[in-house]
Amino acid sequence: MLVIKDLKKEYGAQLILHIPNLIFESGLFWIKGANGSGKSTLLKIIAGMIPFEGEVEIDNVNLRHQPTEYRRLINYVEAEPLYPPFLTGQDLISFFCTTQKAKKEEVDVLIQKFNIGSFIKNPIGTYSSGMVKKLSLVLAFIGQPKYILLDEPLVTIDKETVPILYGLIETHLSKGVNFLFTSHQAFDIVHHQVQELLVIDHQICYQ
Amino acid sequence: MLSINKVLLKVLVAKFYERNAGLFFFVFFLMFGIVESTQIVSYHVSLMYATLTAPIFLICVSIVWTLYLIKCIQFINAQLRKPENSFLFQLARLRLNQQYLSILFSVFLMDEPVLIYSGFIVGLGIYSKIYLTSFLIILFHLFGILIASAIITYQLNSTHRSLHLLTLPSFHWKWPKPFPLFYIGQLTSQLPSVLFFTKAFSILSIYGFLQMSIDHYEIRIALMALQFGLAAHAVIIFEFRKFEDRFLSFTRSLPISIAKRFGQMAVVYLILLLPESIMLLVNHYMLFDVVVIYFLGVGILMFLHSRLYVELNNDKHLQWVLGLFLISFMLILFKAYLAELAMIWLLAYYYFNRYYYSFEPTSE
Repeated sequence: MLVIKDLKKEYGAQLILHIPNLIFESGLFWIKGANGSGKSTLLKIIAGMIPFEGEVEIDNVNLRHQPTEYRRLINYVEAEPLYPPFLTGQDLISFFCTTQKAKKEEVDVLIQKFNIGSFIKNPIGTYSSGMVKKLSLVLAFIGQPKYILLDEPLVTIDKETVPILYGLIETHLSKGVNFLFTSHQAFDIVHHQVQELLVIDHQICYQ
Repeated sequence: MLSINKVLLKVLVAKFYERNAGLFFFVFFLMFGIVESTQIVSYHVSLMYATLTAPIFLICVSIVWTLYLIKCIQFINAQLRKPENSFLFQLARLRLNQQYLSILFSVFLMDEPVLIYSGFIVGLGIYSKIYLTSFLIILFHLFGILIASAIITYQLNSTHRSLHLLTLPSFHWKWPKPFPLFYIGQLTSQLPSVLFFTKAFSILSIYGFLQMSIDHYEIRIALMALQFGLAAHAVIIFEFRKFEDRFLSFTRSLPISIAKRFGQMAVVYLILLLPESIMLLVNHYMLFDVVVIYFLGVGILMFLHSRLYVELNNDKHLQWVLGLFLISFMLILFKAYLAELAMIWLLAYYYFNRYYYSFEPTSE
């Protein structure tokens, strides 16, 4: 269970988010909202990427008090991921495998599924934005996270990859992994209920 | 043309001086700060005479001037490649001579510090009737600026071609990279010239200090030499933090403890200062002293790096670099370097631990 308490995020004097209390039980959560409403900021806060006021915890593991343990429970992919252009995809995958203590076999399956084997040994600077996105999605599924946060996962990927992503999400949902995602495109997961939330006026509520 | 020159002045010339303020300050300090005020004039007159009369000295100075001009060209190229400056390619719509004159104007202003000093050398040369060398210096600068402007104009009109003029060869690692080598890889592949000039300056300054003849073994000579080398690393430290901010922000959500992150960063700087340490070892410094110097150097770099989690501001960074340089110099003079070693590591860890997660990456 992911719990947010008294969360407040400001940029300068501008209030972005104010969430007194919010609980994500289990399943698939679609965070909706207008551009600039604070959806990505919320995901970054939950991922432990940016500072904020308040408390965020997963299964009583608090981000502020147990930062390393908490981060083991979260995987996060940005809407437009940016990686060092001189590194290869393989470098990053090896790096994530080490930090997430993942097995090589499970990563090989992901590489095969997303069909990135042909280019992961090339420097990321030579990738198209779609290839970078596919790489980032592979990284999102590495390890044993409790929650996977996907910011606009459908942006820039080709239509052949979309059902592969849906399939992986469904497989992981059935294993007890939960997903929080933002998307301006329709998200057609059919076998699981999608719980929708709306970010509006700096607050977030279930719809 | 005036409106174009105004834009170039802001986008190229002003940015060049802003970006290299630390370097200019440092060179200014070397030229005027370390000489007694009563001897400044005679010191510089001697330097100028050496340039005018000793061919080997003139060659060395010419190499430095050429490197500076290459730096100007590289800077303009880098600015042209920035997405926000892509509008500058509108210049290519002008007639070639108009483009050339605009670029010449910018290069001339960027080369100004060298030209002013050279002006004094030529003035002294004419006053002392050393006409040939004075004339050669004028020709050197004239051709240097004309050629540099021609290269940039050519590149401005060659966006459809693959050009790799005047960039140092970059080195791409072929084997899997552990995390600390992400940073070194950034230097070798993206900023080879920064790496080359920093290490060249750092090693040359140590070499220069080690040539001082004293009649007894003195660790402080090496420590003071290292301070110059460390100050030269200011650009690399800032580039590392920018690199983290832009490309490694994804690592912030990974389950790595602060202590481990700090350790990984220290390994990066240990690798970076390895050449300086080896140089001291081969110059017969005792192993224990080299270890002390090595860890003091890495500690200072780690502190400057960690402090950049408070704010990623180049101006303030350079102030800290200079301030720390002066404090370190004093502590070394008073033989308090062991205390400094302990303090600097404690402060570095304090800043890293306190500000790593509270820093907001600008990609946000």
